[in-house]
Amino acid sequence: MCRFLVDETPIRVHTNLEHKGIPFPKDQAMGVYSSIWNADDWATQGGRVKTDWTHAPFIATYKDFEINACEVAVPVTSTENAKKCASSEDKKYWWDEPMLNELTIHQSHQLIWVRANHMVYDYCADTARFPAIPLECVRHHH
Amino acid sequence: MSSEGPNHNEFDFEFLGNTTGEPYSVQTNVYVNGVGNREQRLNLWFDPSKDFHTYSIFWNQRQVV
Repeated sequence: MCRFLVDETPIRVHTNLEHKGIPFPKDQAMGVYSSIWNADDWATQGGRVKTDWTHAPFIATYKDFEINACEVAVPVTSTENAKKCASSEDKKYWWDEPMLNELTIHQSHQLIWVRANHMVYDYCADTARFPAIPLECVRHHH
Repeated sequence: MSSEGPNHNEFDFEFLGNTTGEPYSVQTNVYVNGVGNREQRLNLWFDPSKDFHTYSIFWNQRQVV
């Protein structure tokens, strides 16, 4: 599963539904990157508002990157990654703890709050763009 | 965060600027096997340019069954 959080508040959950035949990003090693770019062709009210370059320079500042992960050498095949980084009897990664796989009640409420009060776009609800609802968006109960 | 290659996977936090006084928004996206188009966007409940905040991605291989 994949969760996005802002200050510990979950804002998005992307669930691993491979048992339903839905691909999940799992087997490829990932790196963390940051960049700054001009997206005034789409990001600024659909590109209607253009960047005002008189305000330049535009600066984004990051600090305290923290990465907790299973480290892999590159290049290595995807299946090797998946095997090496899967928790097993003798090697347990904290992020694989079953209790972490579901939101706590409090987190569930936070996510509902975010979606109700702050979400302005969700591809899952964009039926003009996706007449057939994307598979991973179909509500699942378990 | 991203893997490499044409069939790459990716999880994105994208911070979208705005005209002065308007809320900043954060867009997230998920790429699976090179295909994205899974945008979600929200207006932040604070001004992200005023202070540092923690933006994190929790990712594991586990399925939800």
